[in-house]
Amino acid sequence: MPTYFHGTVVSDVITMVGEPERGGIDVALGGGEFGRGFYTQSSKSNALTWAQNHRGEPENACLLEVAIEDEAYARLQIRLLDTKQAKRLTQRIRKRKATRTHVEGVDVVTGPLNGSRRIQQQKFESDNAQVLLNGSQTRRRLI
Amino acid sequence: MLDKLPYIHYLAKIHRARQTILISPAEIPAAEFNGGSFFAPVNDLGSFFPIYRFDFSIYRGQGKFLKPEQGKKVFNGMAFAAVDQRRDALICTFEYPFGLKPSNGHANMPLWFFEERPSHVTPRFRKVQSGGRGKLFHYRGDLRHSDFKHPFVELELGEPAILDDLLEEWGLSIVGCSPKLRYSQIRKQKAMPARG
Repeated sequence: MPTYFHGTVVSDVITMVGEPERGGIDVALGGGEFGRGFYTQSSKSNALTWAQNHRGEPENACLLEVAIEDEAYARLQIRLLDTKQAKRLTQRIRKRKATRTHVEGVDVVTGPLNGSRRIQQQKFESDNAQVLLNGSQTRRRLI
Repeated sequence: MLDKLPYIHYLAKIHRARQTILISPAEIPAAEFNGGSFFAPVNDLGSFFPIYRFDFSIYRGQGKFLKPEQGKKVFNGMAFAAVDQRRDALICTFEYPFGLKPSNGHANMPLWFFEERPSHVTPRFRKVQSGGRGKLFHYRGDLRHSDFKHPFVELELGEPAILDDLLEEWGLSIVGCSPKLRYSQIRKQKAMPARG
C-alpha cells in the first residue's frame, strides 16, 4: 500500500483528513517543483522537518499520512521522472514562473525530491487523483 | 564560545539566473512546496568546522511536541566533525530532554547514542559529493544569520533511513537552525494553507 507524507500545520491536516468518505484535499491549491498539485513525499522525517522550517514555528508542524489501496493507485496514470528529467522539468517550470499552474496531464508525477538520491516526491494533479485521495480507498490521518 | 558555533541549516536549493542558490523554506510561499536538505557552512576551502549546533524537536504525534523547560521551543544538538570510512562526516548528538538522565548520571551531557544504543541510530552526515568533492553553495535569500557569510555544502546521511528511524522510535526530528528562533528579518507571510 503506497504510503506518503505531507508536512504542514494541524488545522490544514484536519481539513484534509475530513470524513472517511470525504477528505478535503484540493489539488488546485498547491504548487512546487513539478507545478500545480498536492505534494507528498516518501520520507516522514523530511516532511516534518520541512513543515517545521517552512512555517517558521517548529511547534506548529504536523504530518498527514495518506495510505492508498494498491489497486486504486495502480489505476492512476503515473509519470515517473528520473533525476535528470525532474531537474529539467523544474527548471522549465521555474523559468515560466508556473509552479502554481503547470500540469503534466497525468494523475500523478513522481520523481526525486529536489535532486535527492533517496527521497521521492509525488505530485497529485488531476481530478481523478483528488477523488482517490479524498475517498474511502485512501486512509488519511494526522500522525 | 558555544554561542559562536555554526549551525547545521535546513535549506532549499533553487535555480535563479542560471545559478543554484540556497534560500530558507520560510521564504517559500506558504502554498508552495520545494524539497529541502541539510547544509553545513564550511570554510573557504570547503572543510567542515570542528563543531556545529542544531535544533531538534521531539514529536509526540498528533501535532504535539515535547516542550523543553525554561521556555525554550526546541532542544539543542551538537554535531562533531570526524572522519568516517575515509570521508569527512558530522556525527550528531542530542541533548537529553528535561527529567531524563543518562545512565552515567550526567544530566547536562549530550546524548551519545553510540555509547548506549546500537551505532546505527547515530546520524552521520557526509558531504554530497560532486566530482569527488563537496560542491559549494551560497545562501542568497533575504534572511540574516551569521552563518550566511560562509559557503555551504549539502549533507547526506551515511544511512539514508536513519532520520525516519529516529522519528519513529524516539520522536526525534532534526530541525536544523530554526528560522523563527534564529534568523532575523523573516518576512511576514500571508496565512495560506501550506502544501508540502
